[in-house]
Amino acid sequence: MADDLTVFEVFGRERKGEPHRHAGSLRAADAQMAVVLAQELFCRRKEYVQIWVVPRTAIHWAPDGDAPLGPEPQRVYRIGEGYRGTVEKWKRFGGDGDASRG
Amino acid sequence: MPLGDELSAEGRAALGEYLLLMADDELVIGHRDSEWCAFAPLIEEDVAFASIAQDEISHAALFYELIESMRGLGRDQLAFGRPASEMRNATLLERENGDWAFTIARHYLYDLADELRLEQLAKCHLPTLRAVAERIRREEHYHLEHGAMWLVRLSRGGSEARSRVQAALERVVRESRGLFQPMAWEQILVAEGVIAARPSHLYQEFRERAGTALATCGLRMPPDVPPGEHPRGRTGGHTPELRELLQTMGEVWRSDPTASW
Repeated sequence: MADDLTVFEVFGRERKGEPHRHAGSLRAADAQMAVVLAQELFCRRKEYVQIWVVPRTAIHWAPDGDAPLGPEPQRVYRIGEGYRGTVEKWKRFGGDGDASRG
Repeated sequence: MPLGDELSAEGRAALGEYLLLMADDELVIGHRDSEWCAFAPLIEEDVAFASIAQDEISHAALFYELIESMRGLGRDQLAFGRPASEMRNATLLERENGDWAFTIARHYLYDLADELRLEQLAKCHLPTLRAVAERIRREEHYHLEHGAMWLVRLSRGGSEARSRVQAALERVVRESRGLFQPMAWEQILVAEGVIAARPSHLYQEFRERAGTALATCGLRMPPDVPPGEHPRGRTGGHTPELRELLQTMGEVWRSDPTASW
């Protein structure tokens, strides 16, 4: 039986409006079987409002190597970490520190 | 208000009987399903079927708890402390697992029968019972989907799978009549408005739904068995397979019934 099986990657959405995140993988004969099995395999200890299954062969990836992909580390304005001090600065200039109000 | 307080003494006794019957069905099939763990056709199915087994046993626990609230008998005592002659489950559910085809045929057809009585209970005028039925149905919906998925695959899985599943259906359908064994107390539950019709009268509806489901897989619905040949597990007419099951299932509990696990 194992020879006829396809590997599926399973993605689950925990709450409405949230993105699907990778939950794991499984083998099944087809997508419908993968959906049925994924519900028991991945919804046992965690609740999802929706799950997707994707055949692993449908996934393509950028070349991986030693160097990280994406922006150079010094270009901090491109990544969230670069704004860590924003709340402090906002307070110093008289705001109430609620950075979410922009 | 404790369950059944609005019923007459006779009505409460009848309700206790019905709950015990459903609890025993779920416990026994749950135990059989659990025996597949590590032997299912693929490891993913090991996890899925073990999870289904846990669901069935947890449904049994819900029913035993309701009985406990009415009669004061502990649920472990109810589940593990009774001899085969006092178990109310249908004989179909106590049968040894056999092959995967028999397991799937029984799993699917039993869940169809279970769905029929839960549909009825979900309309019950006792709020506790209605809530329990609705909760169980949410999980049983998935079990049916799982059973149908396998039934379709076995029916299309080549001649060996197909002939095995058809042979399994002959056995399962013949014995499924026992799920609808008429019980004297059914009429009391109808008279007191707990359920709209006698559970044994759901048999024709069961055969229709099963026939439709099997037809979509190109499988044949086996003929009905003549009256008089119906299994009578609900009144203690069990097979030696149940005694063996109870022996295994209750082994740890019997080693010290007062232990707290």
